[in-house]
Amino acid sequence: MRPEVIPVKMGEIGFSRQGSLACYALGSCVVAILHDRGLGLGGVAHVVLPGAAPPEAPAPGRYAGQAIRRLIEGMVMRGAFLPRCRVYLVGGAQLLDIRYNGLSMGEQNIASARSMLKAHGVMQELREDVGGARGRTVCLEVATGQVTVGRAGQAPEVL
Amino acid sequence: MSGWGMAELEAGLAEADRVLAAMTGITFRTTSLCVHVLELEKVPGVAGESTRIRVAVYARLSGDRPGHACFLIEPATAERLADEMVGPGQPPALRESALSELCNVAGSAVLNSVSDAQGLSLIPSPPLMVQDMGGAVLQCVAAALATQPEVTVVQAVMDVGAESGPVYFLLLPEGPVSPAPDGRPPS
Repeated sequence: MRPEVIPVKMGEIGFSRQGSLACYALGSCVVAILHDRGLGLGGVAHVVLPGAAPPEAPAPGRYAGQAIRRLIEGMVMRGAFLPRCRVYLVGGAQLLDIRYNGLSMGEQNIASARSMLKAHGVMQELREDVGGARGRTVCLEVATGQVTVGRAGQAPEVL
Repeated sequence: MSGWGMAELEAGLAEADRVLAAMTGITFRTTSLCVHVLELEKVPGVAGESTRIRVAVYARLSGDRPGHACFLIEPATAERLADEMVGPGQPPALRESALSELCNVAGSAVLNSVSDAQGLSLIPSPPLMVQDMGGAVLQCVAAALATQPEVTVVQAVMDVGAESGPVYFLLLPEGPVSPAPDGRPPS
């Protein structure tokens, strides 16, 4: 039987101890991934916007500040040991000239996600595939911690 | 923002069908026009499988109805259209330019119809063409609208000739647009 693939959509955070967590067709969004191999636990946050959510925001999980905090808290609540976790950032491309507060949405998402991870002290073993002008699909295989990144018309590569 | 009049959109799409056929010699026919009010995460999937490779021609709209307009075309269909416009074997830049112009003219037909009927100023940016996962392109547009609780998507599907894949034409206005009870946007 094929392991389950759990899609994590825009603004969502997903955790799993089995199967895979996947984010499809990333453009300017950034995906932050934490994986505790010792526990066999993975967590994925699909970040849409940089910075912290304003008080009136309809979906705070879309913002890097809230999304990454919830990702880290969720991993800890499920027993993860943060210094043992491997950390990945994927996405933040600029396919279109769409700007947020005058700057590239993708670049701001990358900078904001890095800043939030650093603020929470989980930058160890950070691996990245970010920026550029191509869309991506990313998948975390929870059992092994293997992260693969695919681009349009190309075979997925292990990060 | 009150909305996009359905009658004006239908008239504009009919005009787009006509000018596209005149430019390419291929029959275009708008087969559906609908309005969705969606949760943000559903936007990347509105034109079919999100990871499917598409040629996308995008323009930002400013003026009285700010928003985003996008054509999504199957690569094989885009090749066929470019062949008809500039001939096979031409440099990629020329083919891309021709295809961008094609979408620019079609988009202008739609926008002119709406702006003339409603007395609005609708100003598209120069068209930008990319070939990538269709969902990734739409995700970028959705992200620009992510401060809203929901996203309105005006979607038209055009059949191209007899054998080519469909062309999706999408308008994603900024700000709330409440469709009428029958699913039509308010005029």
